[in-house]
Amino acid sequence: MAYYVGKDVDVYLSTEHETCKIIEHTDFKIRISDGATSAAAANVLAYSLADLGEAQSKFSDVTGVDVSIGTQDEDISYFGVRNVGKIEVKNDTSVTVTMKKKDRKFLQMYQGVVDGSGHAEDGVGGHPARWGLTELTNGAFRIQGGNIDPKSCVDADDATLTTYGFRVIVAFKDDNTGTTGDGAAIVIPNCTLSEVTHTTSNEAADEETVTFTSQVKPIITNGRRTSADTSVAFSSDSTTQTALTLV
Amino acid sequence: MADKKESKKEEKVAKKAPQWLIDKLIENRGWSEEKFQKYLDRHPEQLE
Repeated sequence: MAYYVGKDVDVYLSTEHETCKIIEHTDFKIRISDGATSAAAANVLAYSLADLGEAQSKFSDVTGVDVSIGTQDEDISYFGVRNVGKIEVKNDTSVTVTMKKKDRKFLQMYQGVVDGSGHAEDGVGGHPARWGLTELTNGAFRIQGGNIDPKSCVDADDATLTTYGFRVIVAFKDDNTGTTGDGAAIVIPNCTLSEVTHTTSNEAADEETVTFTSQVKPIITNGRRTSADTSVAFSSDSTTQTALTLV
Repeated sequence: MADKKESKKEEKVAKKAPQWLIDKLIENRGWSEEKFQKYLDRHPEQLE
């Protein structure tokens, strides 16, 4: 486990779809909203991959970040062979972000209610938005209730890619110009929102802790952006959706 | 008559995708024109 102070790293969050984001409607229900954005909007809970890396997708007032990386191996021994075969079964990565609490964004994603009509995959809704999106047919995005396996959350545009969960990027060092390739970041794809806790105190600012976990192999990148500008989205090596064969 | 035609033309030209959207989806994400057009059909509100 590696612990970082909030001022040392930048953390970004998005859904796993190129343009579809998750919002809170005026009736406080959670809805999908397709469309890339050019600036922050107050009601957005998670922006799309096209916005990942821009200011609106970044966590603010972060005080601490824990990154925990691990794998589960399967040990296979054979007669006459001394070494044990360590076969990697899956990765186990989690990111815990502690930040000053200023809105109900993460509580909504963790325990809010998805609008059933046209926004929930099952058409009923009532569940939170911890497991990301799915796309039934082209443009028919839905928030899923955690009852679909990642291989079945398919991007209708490209049936080889998954839309399961969220994507978190922890940027340790920004790229100098955006395209130099001297930055450092870890990309954790297909995360589920596994825990949200909230601490109140009468002497200090309220804090919340949000944990994302993923079993998909993380990507270590040089934090390149899509153009020579450090405020634009991350380049395609960090923002390409995961292939179905890898989830 | 010519003026009228011209103004109609201008209206058509004005309804195009904003540069930030073109940069974001075609330049940066490598979308094809066809895929981008499909996206615009879903999002007429994002046209300038």
